[in-house]
Amino acid sequence: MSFVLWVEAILLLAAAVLAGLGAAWIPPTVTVKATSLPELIVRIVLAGFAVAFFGGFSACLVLWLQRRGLSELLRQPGPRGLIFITPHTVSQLAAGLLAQEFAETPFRIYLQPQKDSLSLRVFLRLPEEASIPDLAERLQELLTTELSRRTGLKIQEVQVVVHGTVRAPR
Amino acid sequence: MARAEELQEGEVGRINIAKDVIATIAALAACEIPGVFAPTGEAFSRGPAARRYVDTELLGGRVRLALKIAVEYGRVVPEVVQDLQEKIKTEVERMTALPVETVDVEVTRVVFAKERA
Repeated sequence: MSFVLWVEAILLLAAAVLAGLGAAWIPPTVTVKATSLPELIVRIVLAGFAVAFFGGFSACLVLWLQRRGLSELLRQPGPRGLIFITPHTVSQLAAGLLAQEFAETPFRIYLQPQKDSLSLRVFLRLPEEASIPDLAERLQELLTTELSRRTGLKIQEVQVVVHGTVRAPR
Repeated sequence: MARAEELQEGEVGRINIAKDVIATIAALAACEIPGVFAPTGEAFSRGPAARRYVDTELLGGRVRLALKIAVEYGRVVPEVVQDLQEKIKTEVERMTALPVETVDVEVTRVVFAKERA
């Protein structure tokens, strides 16, 4: 996964450099489908592409740094060697806990590394007639205590994002 | 597949232990820990196939092992991993007389009960 991200980042950087060079050294006029475009417009378009590609490259870099930070956080030294619980495993454990408690509720879980702990963002749809504060409290309690117990990781916070409702089947 | 071998000076000659042998011992030890599975979600096989999840390094007569495993859902992961590390260290040291420096374990996934059904 990290390899694919790096390939994407390098391709985006190369595209940004090419577009940037094109914007700087373009010939006075470019003929596109027999229409002569003014130099300035071509430069602006290429510069726009360069900025967009560089933005993509920066996003890849930020994503890689986040993943690296998360991986570092999930490596715990043990008496006989390192214990590395992958982000996928932590997500699976959290999903298993949520599925036990909120079987009818679709959800997504994102992990975010903090300084020396982990924070979770849970996106879910609210079951019909459920109270958001009660649901959020139950969910936060479950994830902070159970996930910490099962992984040995410190869970600093659990953010709950309710982005819709689920109707009970009639 | 050529693999480096560790040499030990015995009383009447040299003893060569292939890395594959150490990896097999580690994989066999993993079979005996409840809740430990291969990263595919299947039980650790007792054959040579299990060796692909074990990386063995020999440095100055010391063994460093790195394993990839899956853990059964419901288990406390650090406890399972520490049991596994202890078991592998004990078994490898008992069977090869080589000191085990570290046993690094990467838990790549969780295995749910419905997957095993």
